[in-house]
Amino acid sequence: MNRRNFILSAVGAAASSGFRVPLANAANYTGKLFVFIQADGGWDPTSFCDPKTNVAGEPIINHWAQAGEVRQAGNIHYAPFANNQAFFDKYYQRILVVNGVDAQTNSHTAGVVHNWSGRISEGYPTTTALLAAHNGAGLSMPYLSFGGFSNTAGVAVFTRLNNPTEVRNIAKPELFAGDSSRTPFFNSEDWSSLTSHRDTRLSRLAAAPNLMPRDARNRELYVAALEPDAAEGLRTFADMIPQARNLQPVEEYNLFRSTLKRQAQLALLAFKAGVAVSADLRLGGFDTHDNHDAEANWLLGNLTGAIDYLWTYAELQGVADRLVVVVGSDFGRTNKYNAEAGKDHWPIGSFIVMEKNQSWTNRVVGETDERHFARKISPTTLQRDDAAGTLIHPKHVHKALRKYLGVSETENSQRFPFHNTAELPLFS
Amino acid sequence: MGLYRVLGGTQISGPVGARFGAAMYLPLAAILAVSVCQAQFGPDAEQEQAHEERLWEEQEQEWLLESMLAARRESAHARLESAASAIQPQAICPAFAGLSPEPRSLRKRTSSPLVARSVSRPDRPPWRGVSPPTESPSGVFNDYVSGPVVQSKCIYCHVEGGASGHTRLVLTPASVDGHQATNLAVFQTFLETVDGGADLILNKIQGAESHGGGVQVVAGSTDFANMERFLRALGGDVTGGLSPTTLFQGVTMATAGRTLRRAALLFAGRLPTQQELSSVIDGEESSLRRAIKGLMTGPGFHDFLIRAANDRLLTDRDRLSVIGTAEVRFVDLTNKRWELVQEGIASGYANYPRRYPPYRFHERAVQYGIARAPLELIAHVVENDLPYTEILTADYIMANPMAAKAYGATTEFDNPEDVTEFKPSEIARYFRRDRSMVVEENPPNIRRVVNPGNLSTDYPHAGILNTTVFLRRYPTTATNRNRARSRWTYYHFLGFDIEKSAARTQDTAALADTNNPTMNNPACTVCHIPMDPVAGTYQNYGNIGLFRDRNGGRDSLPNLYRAPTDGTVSPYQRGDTWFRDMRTPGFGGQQAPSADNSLQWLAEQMVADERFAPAAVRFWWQAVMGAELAEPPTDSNDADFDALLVASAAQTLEVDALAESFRDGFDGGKAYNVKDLLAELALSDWFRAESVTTDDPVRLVALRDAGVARLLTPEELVAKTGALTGYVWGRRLQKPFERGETRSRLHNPQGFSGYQLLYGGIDSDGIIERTGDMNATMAAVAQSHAVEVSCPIVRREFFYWPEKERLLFNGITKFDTPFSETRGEFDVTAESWEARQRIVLRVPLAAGSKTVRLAFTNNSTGGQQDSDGNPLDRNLSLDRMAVHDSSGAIVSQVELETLGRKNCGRPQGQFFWMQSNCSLELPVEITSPGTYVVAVSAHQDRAGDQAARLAIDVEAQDGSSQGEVAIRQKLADLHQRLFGVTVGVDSPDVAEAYNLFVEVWNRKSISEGASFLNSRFNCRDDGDHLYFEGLADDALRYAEGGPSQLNYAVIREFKQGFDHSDPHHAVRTWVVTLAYLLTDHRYLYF
Repeated sequence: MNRRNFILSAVGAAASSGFRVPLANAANYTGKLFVFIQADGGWDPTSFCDPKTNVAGEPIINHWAQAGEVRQAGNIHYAPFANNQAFFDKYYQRILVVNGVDAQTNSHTAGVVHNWSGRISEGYPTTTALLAAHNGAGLSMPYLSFGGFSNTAGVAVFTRLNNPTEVRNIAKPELFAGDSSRTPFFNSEDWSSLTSHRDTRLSRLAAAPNLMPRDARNRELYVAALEPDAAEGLRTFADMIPQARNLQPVEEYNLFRSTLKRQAQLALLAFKAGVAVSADLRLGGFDTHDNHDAEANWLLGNLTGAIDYLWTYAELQGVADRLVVVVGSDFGRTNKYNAEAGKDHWPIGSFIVMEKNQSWTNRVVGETDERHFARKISPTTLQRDDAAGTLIHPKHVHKALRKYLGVSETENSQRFPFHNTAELPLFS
Repeated sequence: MGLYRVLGGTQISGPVGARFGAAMYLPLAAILAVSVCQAQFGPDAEQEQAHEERLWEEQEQEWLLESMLAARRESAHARLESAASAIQPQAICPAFAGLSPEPRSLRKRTSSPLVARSVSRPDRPPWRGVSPPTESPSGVFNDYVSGPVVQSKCIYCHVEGGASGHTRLVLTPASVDGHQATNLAVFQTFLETVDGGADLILNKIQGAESHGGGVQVVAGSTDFANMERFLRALGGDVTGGLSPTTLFQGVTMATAGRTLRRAALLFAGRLPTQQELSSVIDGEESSLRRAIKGLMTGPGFHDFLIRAANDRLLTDRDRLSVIGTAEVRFVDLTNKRWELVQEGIASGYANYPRRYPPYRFHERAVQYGIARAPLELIAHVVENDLPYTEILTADYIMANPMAAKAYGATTEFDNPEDVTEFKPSEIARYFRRDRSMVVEENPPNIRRVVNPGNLSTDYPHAGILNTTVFLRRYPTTATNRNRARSRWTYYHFLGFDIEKSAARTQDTAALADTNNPTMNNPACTVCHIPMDPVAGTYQNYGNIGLFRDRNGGRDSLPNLYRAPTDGTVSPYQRGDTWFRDMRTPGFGGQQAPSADNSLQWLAEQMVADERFAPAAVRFWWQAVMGAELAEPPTDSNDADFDALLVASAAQTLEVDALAESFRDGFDGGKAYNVKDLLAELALSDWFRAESVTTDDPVRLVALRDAGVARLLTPEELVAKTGALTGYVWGRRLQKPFERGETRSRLHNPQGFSGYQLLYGGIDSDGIIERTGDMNATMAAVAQSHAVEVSCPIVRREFFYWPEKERLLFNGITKFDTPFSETRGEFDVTAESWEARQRIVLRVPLAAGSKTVRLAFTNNSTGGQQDSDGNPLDRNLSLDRMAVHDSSGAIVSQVELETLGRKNCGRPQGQFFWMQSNCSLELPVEITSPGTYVVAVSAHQDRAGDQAARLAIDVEAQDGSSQGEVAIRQKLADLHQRLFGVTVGVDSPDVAEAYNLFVEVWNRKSISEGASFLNSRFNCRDDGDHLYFEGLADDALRYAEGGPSQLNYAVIREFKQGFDHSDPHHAVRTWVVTLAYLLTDHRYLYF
């Protein structure tokens, strides 16, 4: 029995321990690729995709609204703030905005969990993990995580690429610094002997009876991680990693530090290499309790700049037509400034979903009132329905995403269902 | 990766810009504020009198306000107040008592309310499915449920007007006549109207299904069993099945020896000694406990404590910079920096004085000393068997020599130059800043405190809580107002996560509330009642943790609170140290008596709280078990709900039992002793479970994080290899830490380069959870580790270390090959054929085909001269080889000069003359097993002072050699040493490894030369900068900026003095074999 067959045969036992080895092999995957961008800390949709102007007699909601007007690109309204205009003008035809998403919390921890798994209590995987499990089984690093929330709930394994240049050193372990022109640590014959005997041994040990569930799971994971396809994919990707000087630079502003473009670059290279299908990118710092305008200006500018880079580089790499981008945050920010010119936590947020050439884009779903309170919408028409409608929660967005992206019926998704949740036709 | 900022934090409800025009909206200002005012106003009598009058006015106003608020609260919760009237004062719904609804224990501990049981192996009460089938519901309810469960737990919230007054289970308090009958009827109705009602109740009281009150009754406890009895008696359908009591049935625990090994790797970063292993051979738990506790000493244990504590507190994020160079309140630090800058300017660093190496070294040392304070305090408390409560109550701060000086302390150190030596110290010279402080800048941005001023500070140390780095790691802002600090204080030290305690309201009216909702709106107060008073106890600490850093050193209140710029009127009054529009500093319904030391007071309250002990167990659980404690599942529709519920219940039982003993002392030992706690954790089933015979999927899921085989963290892997082999992958040293703190490929205490994050480590910032799930990248790191370390390890063992010092390859030689039977090396001193000497090698041989190899091993060419100037040309001449059996009969005999010319010699008269190192191979057939003698006649051509050396090897190629036996035995030894598993020489493990050995050895025997240096490895003995320690100490030096470097000239000279011959290719074969073993999952997991 070869190792892959062994793994497949082990699925039954593994499933009973709560862990599932992916069944499919996505070595030649040509489907969609998924980037979820977590704007960590709670962004301000009222200065972005759910623009709000000031209301007489109410506290100022946005300073930009004292002189600026809400703008529009296609059917999408946006705030004249940061680099929004350039972003929306360029990409509105790829954008679906979902406004008025009620995170039901203003706790960062709960907000992050809720917005990226669809459930406010812990235990559910990210949609990114579900997508990786279904589409990227057998790949070297189907699910990339650059920090933030990346719970897999056992359906997939994520990979961190936080030291990308180091990956070259280890992708070909037998070589010195990954350089085939240097004397190798082990020559190819020795390395071949070692790996051959190692694999025989590990497969035997992974099939041992009566293992504790964790032991069994870890043995299987290790064998899978050493699969020739996985190792080869890692080498392919390592060869594509630019030299440090050619990586996207770290961007800084006061105490903020962004690597979002670099994350995007690496994720796209991994997609291009065929070793990954989904990625969680993260940009932190949106928790603007003071000096909101200046900080949010830079952060949103950095965010949209990175998204622009993501699409531009995706075109360059030839994967833009396959790309689906989801952007969101823990929640929103208050509808007024505090005494430190900051904005505090507010449970109402937004999502942005982007894809090329889709009928559901250039659209806004969900509503908030002038003070950024969420309004109910009809789950069928998606129009405002105060009487019989529903508030949009993250679970609605994730349920719709699962369905649209083709994973709602998978075994993994079935294990983590959204009960009593209307199916919003966000992508119709 | 990602983006961070120094300031940030948590706020449960944000608005603070609420208007305070009406007196009734003023807060319940505190007695605290009164005391502060009294303390801080001047000596002038009139002023004091006026002030006192004002205080009385304020006090009266506050009493008025308090009564108004109480009335409002009463109005809002009239029915609750009525119902609760007969309940003890502290036993009201926690949402209104200053505590969360979550904790099971609402009071400070006064007795032992938890289920009493022995921590080691309790007789746990039955769980589900074992209660008598027919009982009187009222009897069971009245006798066992009404008092201990309903009136002691449920009634706090499940009462009309209570936090759960809106649910389907609303109960009547004991103060109402007939409450038992009434409540019985409520349960009866519930079961009749709710599908699966009995299961739902039993799940809820365990904290599952999003129970707002969290865990109230632990499955496996007596109360739980009684509740189940009652529900069954009432006709409820209780699902039977797996229980905490039966969870570990079918599970085999690791032996004492195996457990000790895992504990040694975990706690001490090493293997147990033979003596330690012998001490547990009796298999007694007491012996194992004693042995495990014995591991808790030394640097390995210290590293464990630091790492485990940081995994929770994450304070290492700021270890490179805690106190900025512009900060002047630590006056001695400021002036030390200034002195070093002046030195730098005078030493040629005028343009960049902060690059002056002594300045840089001092900066690294002092930041390290300040940043490590909380972690070192924990280590200090644990290592010295101090009560764990001292981590919060310590009236000192841990500091290294440089930090102590920065604090102005006079602490004495064993080695004042040792950056890693920490001692209890104090912040002795912290000066708050007002106009009396005189600071000059010369050169620009380089500060010196000329006069520290009048505001010397008696720093009120409160253990971890007010270490600068802890406060900086959990910073605050003007609107956050220490709420994040409060949240994390509850989380770390009371095990209570406020953020999970209540869902945020969706009520738009509540959200629109601008009437100071954190004080007044029940949707907000549910969290803010417990949170804000604790936030207030941090009143003296500013955004980044400095003591009273605002308002001329009087407080830490933001300027915009004291003097709003938006036209609102601030409630601030001179002398305040806390916000008047928030709850007063306090804890558990009590107010902090003094502003000056409110954090110290908080620490005392917290360690007296019943939740402190279980929180401590939770704090250490993950470090030992490698997994977080299971939380009760929130939805009965969840996949694996039953399994997760059982796991949660079983772990809660374990935690509670451990906490009880931890609080009182394990087996009569000291109270709050962490070593005892760690030992008990390592003795628990959750740590020791090794195998299981079951196909029950519920049990398998419930046990999914139990027992053996968790992935070693990057730090643990590098420590393990270091302990087992002496080689640390990529070790580098750095001044001023030198050997005290080294970095490696898998761990960099000065940053996070290398493979630390790729291999699942954390950076204490954006990546704060370790991952134990192996992926392709991590597997590649593990393979790299194996191939890079194996060669230098093997080379040092075989060539540089005496055999007795070898850690892995003692008892085997470079001449042991799959064919070798025996070997001997002999000096040939005879200098003519006439005087030829007879050399004899005795060897036990099995029957079969053998080869005798005769080798000349120390040829010396004529290019060199001896000490007398004579040319050196040593040769060896062999005459005859004969093999005799035990009776002396000749079995085989060869006149060697008859062999003809060979590539390294030729016949010369009556002997074979060898002019260079080479060997002759002679086949011999042994027909019966026995002891044989190989005899060779030889003489030499002397050259220099050394005699010619003849090596005689006897080899067998039919699988019967002594060499094979030795190699197999060594492989079995290595399995024991590297993996901790005992395998036989004929086991599959050894057979597989031996097959690899033979394969590689065969290839190298054919393709490679006789010297190890001819091998085709890139053998990086410079991969560990302490590789030559004890061999060539001058090999290490430091560059100007502080990093270690190797002196390759010294290393070359050192190597030239050693024989690197590997004539039988065994050493290099071990390189590959060792790498193979290091890739085994049993090495990477433990």
